[in-house]
Amino acid sequence: MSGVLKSSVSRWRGLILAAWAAALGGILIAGRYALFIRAPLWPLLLASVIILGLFLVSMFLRPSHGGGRISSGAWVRGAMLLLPVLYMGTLLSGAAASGLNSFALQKRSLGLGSGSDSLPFGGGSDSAATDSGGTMNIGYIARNLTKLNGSHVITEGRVWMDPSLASGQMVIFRFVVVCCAADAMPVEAIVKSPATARCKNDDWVRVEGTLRVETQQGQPVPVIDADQITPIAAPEEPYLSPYQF
Amino acid sequence: MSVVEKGMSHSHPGAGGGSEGGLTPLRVLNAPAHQEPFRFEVPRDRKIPFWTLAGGLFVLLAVSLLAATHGSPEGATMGLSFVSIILEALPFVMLGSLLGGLFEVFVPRETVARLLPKRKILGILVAASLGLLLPVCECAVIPFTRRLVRKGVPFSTAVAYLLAGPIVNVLVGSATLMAYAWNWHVLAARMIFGYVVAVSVALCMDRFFPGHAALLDSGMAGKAAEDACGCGHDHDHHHHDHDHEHHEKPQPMWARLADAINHAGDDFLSVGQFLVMGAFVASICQTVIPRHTFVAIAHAPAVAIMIMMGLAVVLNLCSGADAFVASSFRAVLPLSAQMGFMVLGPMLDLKLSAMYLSFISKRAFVTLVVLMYSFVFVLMLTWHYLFAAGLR
Repeated sequence: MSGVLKSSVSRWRGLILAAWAAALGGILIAGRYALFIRAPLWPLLLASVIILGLFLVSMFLRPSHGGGRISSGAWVRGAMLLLPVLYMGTLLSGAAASGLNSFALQKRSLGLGSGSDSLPFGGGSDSAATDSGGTMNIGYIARNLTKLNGSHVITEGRVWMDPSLASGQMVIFRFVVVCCAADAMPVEAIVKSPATARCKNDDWVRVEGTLRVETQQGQPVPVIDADQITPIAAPEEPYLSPYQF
Repeated sequence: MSVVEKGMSHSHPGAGGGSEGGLTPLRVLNAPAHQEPFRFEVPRDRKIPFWTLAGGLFVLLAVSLLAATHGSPEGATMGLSFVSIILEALPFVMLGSLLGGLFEVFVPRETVARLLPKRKILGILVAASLGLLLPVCECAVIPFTRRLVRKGVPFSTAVAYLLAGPIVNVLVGSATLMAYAWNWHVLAARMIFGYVVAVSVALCMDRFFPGHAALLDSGMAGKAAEDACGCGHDHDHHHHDHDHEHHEKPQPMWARLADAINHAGDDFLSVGQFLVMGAFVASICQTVIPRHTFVAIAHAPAVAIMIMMGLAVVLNLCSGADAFVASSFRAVLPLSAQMGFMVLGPMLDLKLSAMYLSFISKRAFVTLVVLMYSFVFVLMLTWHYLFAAGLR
């Protein structure tokens, strides 16, 4: 066992594995993993921590790395492996702390109507339509436009002040995540109200109003004529699951 | 003589054996003594190797980009994409590494030789369907495949598993069904195309790179050179104090298990650096490239298929999730283009490319890419015009 501690190569290797285990353990304990992956997938991260622990324990049980100094290549490879840990640390506060934003929306959206009724996934029951705050899931709205046309809805999302929209209009959106934020797809709705003037990009808001379906470029687009727009705090789980609606 | 040189010159009675039953003799893999294998070890000389320099520049670029974009929406999107890809892949890379480690320590080469079909074509056909038994995504397949090759599984057979495994499996099938509202035709098409492309590419690779000619000397072959003792650890051999199946003295189960996990840890660190590089480039693509521009230029079916295949490469999605993204294009692109995305994506993307380069030569990689891209494109175009022209 002392061989492991004496070997600088093993110490460096152990440091990398320990840094990873600490970072993953940290976001698991703090519940911040939902920024990166779909929340119900947390057991996969826990499994990663356990396997990293196994790597460390086996290093001590059966040391196989000799002494000597660490090569420049090993320093570089280790630094590369630590990059995601560094990035992870910086993402837990500031602009990234509430998940993918309106910039990501602009890069990933296929157009306002692309998420409507034609959403391929879903099949959830009506009980999946509302989230923990009692509001209607915007994914459910986009999925059931025809059924909900003319209904009174309360929903939540982030704001994008789309410059192509007329004054008094904005877009609210959420991202649907299957595995991780890399596969996130937006669901969007237009909100019409004079109160939109008080909103700015990436605010989280609750919108209450009447849902209508408009056709834009041949696609049905959800439009909410809002009676009320209320700023809210960012939810702990910023993304929606395709299995929710 | 340096410690490493001592290790490289170390020999073992088990080296070079196991040529029966389609196994490639280990001697073929052995790198010349002057080549530097991947290792977390002592430098051979003071000269900085090219890849170390390139890796250093990569780290510098990544840290500079982090500093420059920290707090901005662009930086948040890129950082979230980067870390997400890594976190999603991590458990599967580890799982694949663990499977590989256990395979390395507990499955003797003789068993591998006995289990492998004697006819290579049969081996390829069987290997391409192994995903049904071992349903893991592409991130787990790569480290496991590295170990398969080291154990003497022919490269072409390994390629068949490498390419088909992430598609022809139950989990990916379920996700595809879910994404396409239980359309069994889409599922069947994806499985069949995945299988056909994998087998075809494997056969071509066998012809172009017979034996283990495709393997990278400084990666697998270098490792195999270290395997002159048959162990394959990234370690100094004068500290080599453990044995595996081929060693004369039997070891207790706990020691063999620890060795297997040590191997897995080595594989994880080795593949991990390529995963980081690939994921970083992919996150930049995710941040810079707007998806709607792909749709805007994809009018003709051939262009749509080609563009969706390109998108599959730059988005780096897990094969368990890509069907959901593909189906989000249903309103705007033909099914053949979506299928191209779903067939090529699990075989080739930026992070996979980086990980492939951890064990195959650049020439073999380019050939592999050209073959995969060509087969998928031709199959999709043919399918489109014969059967799927009006389908979305």
